[in-house]
Amino acid sequence: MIEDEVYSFALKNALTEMKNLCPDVTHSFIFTYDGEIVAGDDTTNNKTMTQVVDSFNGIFEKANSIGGIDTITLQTGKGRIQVYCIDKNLYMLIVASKKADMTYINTVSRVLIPTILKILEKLNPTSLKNIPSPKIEIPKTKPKPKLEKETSIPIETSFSSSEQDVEEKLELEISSETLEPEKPKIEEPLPEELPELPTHQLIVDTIGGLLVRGDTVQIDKEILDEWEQLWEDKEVTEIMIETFNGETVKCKVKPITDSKLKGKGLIRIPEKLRRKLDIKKGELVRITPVIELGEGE
Amino acid sequence: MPRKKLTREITTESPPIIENNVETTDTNRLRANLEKIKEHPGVVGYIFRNTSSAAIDLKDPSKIIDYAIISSSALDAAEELSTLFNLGAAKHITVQGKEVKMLATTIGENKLTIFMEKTVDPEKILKKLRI
Repeated sequence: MIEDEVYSFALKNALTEMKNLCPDVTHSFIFTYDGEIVAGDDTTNNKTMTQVVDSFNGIFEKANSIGGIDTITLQTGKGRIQVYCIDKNLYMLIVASKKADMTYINTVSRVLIPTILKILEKLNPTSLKNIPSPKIEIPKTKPKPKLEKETSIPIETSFSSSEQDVEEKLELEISSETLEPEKPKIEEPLPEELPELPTHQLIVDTIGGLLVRGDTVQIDKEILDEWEQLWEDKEVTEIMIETFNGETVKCKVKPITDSKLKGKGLIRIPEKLRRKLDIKKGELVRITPVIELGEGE
Repeated sequence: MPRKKLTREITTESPPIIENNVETTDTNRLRANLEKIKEHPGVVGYIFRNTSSAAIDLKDPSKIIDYAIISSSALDAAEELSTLFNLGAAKHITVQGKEVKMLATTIGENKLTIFMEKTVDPEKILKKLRI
């Protein structure tokens, strides 16, 4: 959510600056192929943007017949409207007056906006790590060294073995065996009365769509039930995901809802979170439940 | 097969009976121009329609439906957007795809769209159309 805001804010500023550079541009905004408005300058309201995007619906629906949309140019008596593809899925619309120097506007817009986009793509993950998020926490200090130690050697071996397991059955197994030798490396051992934290290796799948929460992953209900039994009916609502690059993230967890994907040993991760963790679909990650009582405290 | 038949029927249909002679002349002139434009290198076809008649001539008949929809959508969008931004009357709209370019315009009551390869300059086509 925050990254969307950062993204949108940066683009909005870029569009406004572009308008300052080219006063003949009266309106400009950016939208996606799916019709979602990403950012607009300060003079174009949401209603107008929505109406424009709606007007283009018919064209975009049949865009495949001409190989997808590259540019749309509307010439009118008093000006010009131009839409062009600035990225794979992003389009920018510019409304300019009749006297506008379109060559200059195109030069500015086609350089400025894609550059901002590229910078955002590169900077956003870094900057996001610095933004405190109430939902997604990327522990950087204390837990990280522990996990790095854990992941550095044994995971390489458990990775290949688990791949075989996945091929054979795709059932999730608690890989506490692989963790046990690492236990002495953990400086702060868990309290004795608590059961050891079970670990699962799951295959990364992604979830997309507008209604998907960016801070919640989905795993098999069986795993959640298993954990629940382990901690005497205490519901596990958060997990720690750990990649083989040593990235870790704490996030909320829910059971997989898609019946076709149940029992496949998958973890369904929202696209943005997947990018943040720098993992690809089909890769393996390790998950551990986060228990409020006792653990790490 | 049915599509081919439809294309031929529409293309070869008899001229519309329009009471206004000026309009008939304009329409005939436009249709004549379209026939010339069709021969222009890179032009892959056109769709012409007014209140009473239509003519479709496309090199790839399998795309007639898609092209007709996108052509109509483009002309509607042109009207809507020029009204929305108070830009006066829409002159023409060019949609450039990654494979095909499309030029759509309304001249009087006649709505026409010309499909061409990406390399073709739509301005040249427009000039030919308005001769």
